Amino acid sequence: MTEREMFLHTWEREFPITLKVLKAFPPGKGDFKPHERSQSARQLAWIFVQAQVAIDQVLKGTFKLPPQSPDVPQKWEEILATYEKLHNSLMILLRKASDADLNKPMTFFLRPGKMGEIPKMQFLWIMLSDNIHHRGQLSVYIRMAGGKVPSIYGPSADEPWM
Amino acid sequence: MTEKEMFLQTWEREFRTTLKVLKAFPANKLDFKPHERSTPARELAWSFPMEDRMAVLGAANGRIDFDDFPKPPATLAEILSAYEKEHRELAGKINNLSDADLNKLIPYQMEPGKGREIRVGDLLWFAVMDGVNHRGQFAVYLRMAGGKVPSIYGPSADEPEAGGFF
Repeated sequence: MTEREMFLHTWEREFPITLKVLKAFPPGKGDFKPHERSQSARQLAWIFVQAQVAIDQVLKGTFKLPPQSPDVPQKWEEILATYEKLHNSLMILLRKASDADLNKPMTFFLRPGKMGEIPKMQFLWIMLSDNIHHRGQLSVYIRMAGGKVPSIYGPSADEPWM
Repeated sequence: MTEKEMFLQTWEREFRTTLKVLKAFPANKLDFKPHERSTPARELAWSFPMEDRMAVLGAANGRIDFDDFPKPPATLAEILSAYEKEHRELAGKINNLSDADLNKLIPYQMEPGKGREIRVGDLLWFAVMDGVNHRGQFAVYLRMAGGKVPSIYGPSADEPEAGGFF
């Protein structure tokens, strides 16, 4: 399996889990945040869309820093619909991209305050990890907002396996 | 770069970030949990060394021991010390695995009632991703418990000068 194949496989596997977590968020609680300095649930959920937009731009060669993406919708259903729609179009682009395309360099953060070149493939992995990180955060929001946390990589207190 | 090299690079990078997040947690708030059904901070913190251990020993031994999960120690200092110690020891075990070892299949139950096998390499990647998931959860706990969230993949509201992406 090449690194590109490995990424595609992982990205596809993670998508339905993220969708399940987004769908588990209680309706009408999009403004919930667990702390005054925290992002609201809507802002957090929109990060999954922002990541898709960024990858789409990177693959098309139009990505610029700071990243450009649409404003956060008011309605949770709109976030969900956008996330699902972009996933499908992004998968088409990702499947078309060659290993050579993904090994081309792009400008990104190397560390805090330091810019430099990284392979596009590395950017894709960063986006994947960032999504998993934010999905973990959202799972805490769900329970606090009155929802039930579905299984992510294993059972949860709300969805025990045994 | 081989899969093992790629894995070790990722594992090391994520370990350093997780250690930074754990160190930012207020040591006297380990009993904190954001909801009555949530895992307390102490247990969540303990999952980092223990899940790494379960996965790497499973990869090395060809069998995952789900019962080898001791209770968490009382203090954050002990958790941090155990995490650093486990990490050093487990890195040696990963280094001893060949690329062919990563492609071996071992027994694994991924979903209830669905006993199956998992590729050793996938088990290791799974452990990294599970750690990232739990670290995201822990970052929410951290701020609620009165700590400051350090930069993880980019700046946080508490560390905006870090620069980054979203």
